[in-house]
Formats: sequence, structure tokens, C-alpha cells
Amino acid sequence: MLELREVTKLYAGATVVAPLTLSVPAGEVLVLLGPSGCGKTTILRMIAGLVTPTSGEITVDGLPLSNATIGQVRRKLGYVIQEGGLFPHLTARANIVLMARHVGWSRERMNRRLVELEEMTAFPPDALDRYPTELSGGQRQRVSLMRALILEPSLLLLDEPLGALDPLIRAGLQRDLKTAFARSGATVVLVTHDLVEASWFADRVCVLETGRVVQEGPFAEIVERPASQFVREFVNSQVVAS
Amino acid sequence: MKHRALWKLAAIVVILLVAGIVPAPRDEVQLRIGSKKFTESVILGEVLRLLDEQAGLNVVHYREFGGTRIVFDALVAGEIDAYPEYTGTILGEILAGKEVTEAKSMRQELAKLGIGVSESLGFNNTYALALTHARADELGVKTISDLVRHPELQFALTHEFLDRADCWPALLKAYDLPQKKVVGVDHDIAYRQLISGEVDVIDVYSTDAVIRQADLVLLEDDRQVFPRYEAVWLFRKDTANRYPAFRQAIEQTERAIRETEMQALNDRVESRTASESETAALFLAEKLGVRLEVASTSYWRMIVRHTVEHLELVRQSLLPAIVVGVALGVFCQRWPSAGRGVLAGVGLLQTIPSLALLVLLLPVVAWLGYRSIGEGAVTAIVALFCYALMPIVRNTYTGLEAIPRGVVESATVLGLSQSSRLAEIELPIALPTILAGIRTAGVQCVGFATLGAIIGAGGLGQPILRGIRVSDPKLVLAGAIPAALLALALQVLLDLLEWGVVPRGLKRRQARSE
Repeated sequence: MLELREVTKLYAGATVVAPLTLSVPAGEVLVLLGPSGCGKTTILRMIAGLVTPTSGEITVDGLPLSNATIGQVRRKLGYVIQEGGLFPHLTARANIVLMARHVGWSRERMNRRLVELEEMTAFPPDALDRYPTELSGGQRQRVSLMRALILEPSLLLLDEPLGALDPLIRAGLQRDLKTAFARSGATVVLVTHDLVEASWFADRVCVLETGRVVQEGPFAEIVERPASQFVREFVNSQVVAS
Repeated sequence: MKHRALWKLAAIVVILLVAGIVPAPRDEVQLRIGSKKFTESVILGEVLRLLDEQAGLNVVHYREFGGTRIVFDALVAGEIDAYPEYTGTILGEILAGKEVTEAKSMRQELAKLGIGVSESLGFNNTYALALTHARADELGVKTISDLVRHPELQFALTHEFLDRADCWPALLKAYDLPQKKVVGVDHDIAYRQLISGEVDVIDVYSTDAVIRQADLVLLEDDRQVFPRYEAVWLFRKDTANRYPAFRQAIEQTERAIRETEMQALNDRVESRTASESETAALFLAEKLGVRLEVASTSYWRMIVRHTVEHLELVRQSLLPAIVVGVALGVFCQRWPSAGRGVLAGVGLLQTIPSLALLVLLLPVVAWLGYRSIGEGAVTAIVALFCYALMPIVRNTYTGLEAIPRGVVESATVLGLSQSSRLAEIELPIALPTILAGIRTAGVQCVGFATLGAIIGAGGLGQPILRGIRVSDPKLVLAGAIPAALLALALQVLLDLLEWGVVPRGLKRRQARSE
């Protein structure tokens, strides 16, 4: 579904992403795990077409990413960031249906899809006509997720979607997100520095250190058989902390 | 459906441009009379305007719009068709350097420019130096030569008097005057300073009404430095050929006014007994037997007329400035390196003093083939446009820059095109900041527009100028108060607009960040 071949990114001569080859089959939930500055967000931004790789190739559903195909690729993408990135001048509803309106959906179709999404994300329907500033942090992330899901993307990209939330809200949203991933059937790439999130969501985890994948596999394997001193320390630091 | 926001944006642009650029309907003007910024010139201008109007011509009078150079250049350029001038000024100033000393060669020189000179209107309005009666007695001065004995005297002279080769420089040379304390001020202010005793000597015209009112003494020009200043009309010969009635009107006024009569006419206006129009009509009725109705415009009608003119200036400058300013703001944000230059450029425009900008623009506008003065007021509109740009460009730029990166990127990844993103997401989010810029520009614009009167663009600056000239605070207020109210009204209007168009989501955010 998603292929990265020898993808690198240099900023002013410094390597941010070292040659990276990665293949994500359809329906998999892949977690990019690592401390800040490890290049995980840059990888996600390259897939979203916000950052151009210095070399290498990215294909989504067999479509190589380039200036010519970026529009087509984005049709297949859903993108959720830490603070939600909601449009403050639009209500929750208008945020969600923006792209559906652009591709010419009928009002009935939009409403039907809205009901599905509300259910999928456990969003209170009466909050749909509020503006982002009038929503709680958890509700904002749910709106962001609904906005990403409305056109039924085949690839969902999430950058620390739970990062800005307090623990209680986090637990609830974490549960609802997982349900939503399963029901949408999309391939998911999720970026986080949090072991708990990784364990909760991941079919497979990639641990990154300064632009390099240092270990790749199921979550249990990473905890039980860390491939390097770095991975061991990274895992232990969070176990101790929690 | 898909491009609804884009269509909406395009519609706003078109509406603003059309509403801003469409000129107000006006009658075709056949004749334009000019006058310089002192009462006598305005009265004479009104005399000619009334005569032409009575002859059925559609005539306008650009009152008090400048000094000799500006008005004469306007005549040569065809911006006006006639204005009252003085032979001394023509010889010493307009034709200075051409070695013209007699009436005949003066006519020949002006004829080369297509300008005709009428016969004398009947009076000599020469320059003179004046003191208050009391001060003159105290010092014992009667002639300009006597001033040599009093080097401590403070002079307040008009700028024109100081600059003209046949005035101050000629006096200095002929009389060897020792005074060092010489300041350049406006004619009307000099009078007040003289009467209050702040200064000792000022320059006057010998027909000035205030000479009699304030009991001033004119010093005798014992070495005959000042040339004769016979009042005449300078007019465009082509216009005179086209409209025989215009030539006849000029001939009717030749040798018609004596010096004391002119003083009395000036007095009527400056003592605020009657307006220039009424005074001109009175003169025509008494001396030439021409009876006509001068609509004595009430204060309110005058204020309303100037307010409408003022709004016209603001409309035609502010609305296009909104479109261009927002477009430039977007450009600056999209292409930051080129944008820095644009921001610096519009910033620089705003640092040019407004009066200087007007004067600098006059030749540019004329060169572009537009009327630089008077109706249409292109120069004033261009100047106001330049001033209005800065706050709008800056605020558009700031407003767009302030949008969080995540919001813009979310819009990008959703698949919105550049233009849709701008129209649907970025401009609407920046709207409160952009509107604040428009509000600043609008309020400034209303204030600056009062300067338009200097170049005949009308507006509320007109009563202010006239009020200063005839020392009538009521007139000054009649311009200043409506201008202030207009600025206030514009502010309220834009506040209402903001309240109406800015969605709740943005208001909250604003309230929180303040």
C-alpha cells in the first residue's frame, strides 16, 4: 500500500532522514516511534507531500509521489496533527464536510457520512455546530479525525494525535481512535514518542534514532529484545517514568 | 459549488473595484476659472464665473488652489482657462529672466504660450510693507528707507514675497535693509501676528481690506522698487475663440473696478458680511447692471456638498486600495524575498509628507494625461490611495503570517488548491486583522482628504482653507467637525461590518488573545 525506497532528507547538509526503505501493507497500523528530533515527523510530512525528499521514491497505492500526482495521492490521504489543525473560522461540521463539498457530494450523502463518523469517533452530534474554540481538546481531535476520514481515505497519517491532551481524555480518545482505525479499514501510519500509544495501536513498530530505523517489529519484541543500547534506554526511560 | 469561495472572492474584488473606480456623474464643464489663495483673487474669479454662467456657459471656479506658479502652469497646461493676475507678477515672476519690461513684449511672450492678457481691470494692487499705526508712529517711519534705522525689527513675510525676485530680494538690494529677524509665514497668520504685536513689519497687498480695518500704515516705496501691479485676466486664447461669450465677459470687467472699490469688496468678504459669490454678484449689479440670482447657500447645504465631495475622494481611493493592498499583502506573504521590497516600498510612500506627495504627484498625473487639479481630483485620489496602501498591505501580511502552520498544512494535505486555500481558509482567518488595517487606512484617508482642497479637489478641506483665509473659526469648524464625524462614522461602519462578517470562532479567539 505504502512504499518508501531509499528515501533521504537533508537539511542544510545535515541528515534528518537516512536512506529509509519501508513497506506498509494495506490495513496495517504502523507506528513510527522515537524521541523528538529522530526524523519521524519528517517522514510523515514527506508522505503527505509537505516536504520533498532529497532522494528516493515514495509510492502510495502504486502511485509515485511527485508534483504531478500529489493531488491524486492526497485524495487517498487523511492527515491528523497534534493540535488538530482545525479551521477556526468554520464550525465543526463545516470543517468535516469541507472536502466532501469540494468533490460535490449531495447534502444527504454528507449527512449520512456524518452520522457514521460521529458514531465511529464517539462525537456528540449537538457539538457539530460549535466552532473549534468552543470544543474541548478531545472533541477537537475527534473533529480532526472525522475531517480526515470523510472521503474514506486508504491511508491515514497521524502526527502525535494525543500529544496535547490530558490523561483522562487521552484514554477515551485512544480507545475511540482504535475503533475508528478498525472500522475505516485504512492503512495507518502514526507518529509518537509514547510507548503506551505504540503498544496500544501498533501492528508493527519502527524505532528511529537520528534519522535511522534501529529496530522494526511487533511491539512485544521491541520491549523484550531491544536491538541496541539506545532502544533499551528509550524503552526503560518510559517504563521508569510511568 | 466547488469554487464557491473563489467566486465570492472574485465578486468582492469586482464590486470594490467598480464601486471605487466608477466616476460620479457630472455635467460637462466648458470653462474653468482659477483663483489664487487670497480673497481678492477669489472674488474676481467669482465675478468672471457669474458673468460666464449668466451667458449660458457651464463654468466652474477652482477657488484658492495655489500660488502663482501652480495656477499659471495650470493655465498653460489647459487645466484652467482664465485667472486673475497682476502685471507686476507677470513681468517679475512669470516672465522673469526673459528681460521683458513693457506691456507690449509681455503680450508677445505670453501669446507664444497661447495665453492672452486683458486690459487692466482698473486697479493697481501692488505689494507694500505695513506696520500698525501705533508702531509706525512710535518708530517714526514713513518710508521703506526709514527702516534702515531700525535693524531690530521683526519681519513676517509671506513665502511668495520672500522668494520673488521683484519683492524681498529687490528690496534688500535697493534699500540695503539690515534686518536679520525675517520669518516666512502664511499671509493670514502674518496679519494676526502683526496685530498681536509679535512682529513689526509684514507685506500686504495695497487693496487688502484689513489695511483699513486694522488701521495699518503702508510704507512709501520711496525708491520705487515694486513694479505696478495692475489686475488683469490671463486667459487661454483658444478658449476665448471657442466661446465668444467668455471673451465678452472678460471685456465687461476691463477698467471696471477702482482701487477703493476693490478694498471695499475685499472688506465685505473678510468682515464676513457676505460670501465671495454674494460680493461678486453685488458688484455686478451695482457697477455693470447685471442682475443675477446667487443662491445664498446655507451652512448646511455647504457642509453637505463638501461632505459628499469628501466621501467621493475617500471612496475612489480607499476601495481600490483595499483590493490592491490585500493583493500585495498576499504577494508579500507568498514570496517573502520580493515581499520585503514591497513592504519597504509602501512603507516609504507613507513617510512622504502628504503635502509634498500631492505636489510631487501633480506633474506625474498631468504627464499621464489626466487633469491634475480640480474635478475628478485624480492627484488627490492617487495620493490618498498611496497612503491607504500601507496599513492594508501590512495587516494582510501579518494576518496571513499569524495563521498557525498546522492549519495551513492541514488545508494543503486535504487537497485544497493554492487559490481555494487562500479564498476559503487563509483570507477568512486573517479577516479580522485585514479589517483592522482597512479601518486604520479609512480613518487616515478621511483625515488626509482634507488636504485635497489645496489642489482644487474639493472636500471638507475647502471650508477649512477658506476659514483660515478669512479668519473665520466657524468655517474651519464647518470643515473639521464633519471630517471628524465622518472618520468616526467610517470606524463604526467597519466595526459593524466586522461584527457581521467575522464568524464567532474567530471572535472568541481574538477576545482570548487580547
